[in-house]
Amino acid sequence: MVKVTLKSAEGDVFEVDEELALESLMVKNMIEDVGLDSAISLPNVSSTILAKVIEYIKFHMDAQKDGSKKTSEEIKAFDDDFVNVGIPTLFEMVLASNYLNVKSLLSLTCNTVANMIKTKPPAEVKEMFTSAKQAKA
Amino acid sequence: MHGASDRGRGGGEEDEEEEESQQQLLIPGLPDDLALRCLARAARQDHSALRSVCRRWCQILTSEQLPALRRGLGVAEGWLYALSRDKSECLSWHVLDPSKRKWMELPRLPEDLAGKFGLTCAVLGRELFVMGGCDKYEEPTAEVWRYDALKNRWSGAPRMEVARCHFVSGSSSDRLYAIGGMGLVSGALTSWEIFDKEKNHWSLYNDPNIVSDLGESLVLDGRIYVRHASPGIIPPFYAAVYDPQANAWDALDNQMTRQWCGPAVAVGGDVYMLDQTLGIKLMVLNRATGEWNTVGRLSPHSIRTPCRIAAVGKNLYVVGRGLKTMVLNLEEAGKHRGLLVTSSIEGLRSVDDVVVSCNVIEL
Repeated sequence: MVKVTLKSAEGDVFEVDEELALESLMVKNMIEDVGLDSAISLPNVSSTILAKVIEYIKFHMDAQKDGSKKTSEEIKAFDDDFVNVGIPTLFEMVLASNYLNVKSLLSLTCNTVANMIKTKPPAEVKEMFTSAKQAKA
Repeated sequence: MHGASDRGRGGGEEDEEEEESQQQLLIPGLPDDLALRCLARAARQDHSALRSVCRRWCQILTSEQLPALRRGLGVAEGWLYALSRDKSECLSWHVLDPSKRKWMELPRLPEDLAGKFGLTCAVLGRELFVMGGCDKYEEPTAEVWRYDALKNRWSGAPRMEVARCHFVSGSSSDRLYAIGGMGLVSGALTSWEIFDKEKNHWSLYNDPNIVSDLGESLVLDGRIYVRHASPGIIPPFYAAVYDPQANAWDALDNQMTRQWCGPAVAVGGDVYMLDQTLGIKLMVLNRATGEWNTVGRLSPHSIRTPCRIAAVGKNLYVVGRGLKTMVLNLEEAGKHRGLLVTSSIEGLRSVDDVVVSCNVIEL
């Protein structure tokens, strides 16, 4: 299996299967442009988030493989758990999936933000994001 | 991620500035293009609450771009809008959010439509148009009302060129059509009108091929098919088809029009029709032969005629008296012969109300 080296914002190196890396259309384009010889630098994605994105893609690739015993309930449970994070992390995942162009993850994370909005009374919605932002800063 | 918060933090002033710019963002912490994607994904039933969050959200959620964005993301939802008439001849509007499975009352029209007959409804984009009609003395009107589903609001629309009642309508791309019907002095009309949304006005045309006493219309592959109200009527002049390219009508007599005897709807490439002449049968059009084949029967115990039919995604909605509604999944239908497998949605308390029209607005 051909490996691709991805380099996070902090300079951490992640070695992944090419098949997995190609799930990011942005990485796919980079590979097509510059080839596989050098590490692909992702200055907009932190190590923590890149690890999460890889975990997400890997799970879904395995689930789609023939012989996978994963039920749709299990997949949904994984997704629910995957986005069960604080707002700052969730936003970083939105930004990363957009930057890396991983469509399914972008849908999942944007949906999560949308669902978060609707469970709050209107007066508290923006407050929720603002305070999450301040807490992070 | 290198957002604004990662920059070095200086004095209080800078903090305030950052605070201010964050407040102007749709969602503090996300760039607007991504925040927009998130907002656009919110379920349609939550839109009214989200509009009250702030002025910018309200702007976004009522903007022209929203419906297209939601379609692009594959999250557009179709809601049914039904007009019904009660025993005292009062008209009322109800809306059905299929995910809630409950009919809700819509705001009333600014004008009292009580006792009006022969009016026609059609959807153009996010708006429902209510056109023409007459009072009990058969005095037709050219009045048009429009309901904006995004803003949940009625307003007046430009009047048609000709007063008409008991006519049919259709819409395709950006145009709305009002076809035939009865006029003020001349009786049966052979005219039709096109409403151009951009120009916000009606243009009048005339064609002798337009049939009198129109009962049903169907938009299929960009063409409009119309048919005489009586299913028993014989050729030659009982159906016609409109070609928008030629802007002309042709008389039509084929297998499809001969057996066409009720409300019809196109879903993807398929066409379904309700035959209500003996019980309620759901028919599907064989596009190759033009024949209507029976899909199955609806139990007369569960729904009463007259019914209208509408489609949202892969589901067909048959709406009968009192807005009692049967939902039929098209992927399931046809697997079983005979009585159709449906789920039902409770109707109104006034069980005898007659459904006049049922249209879908997708947002």
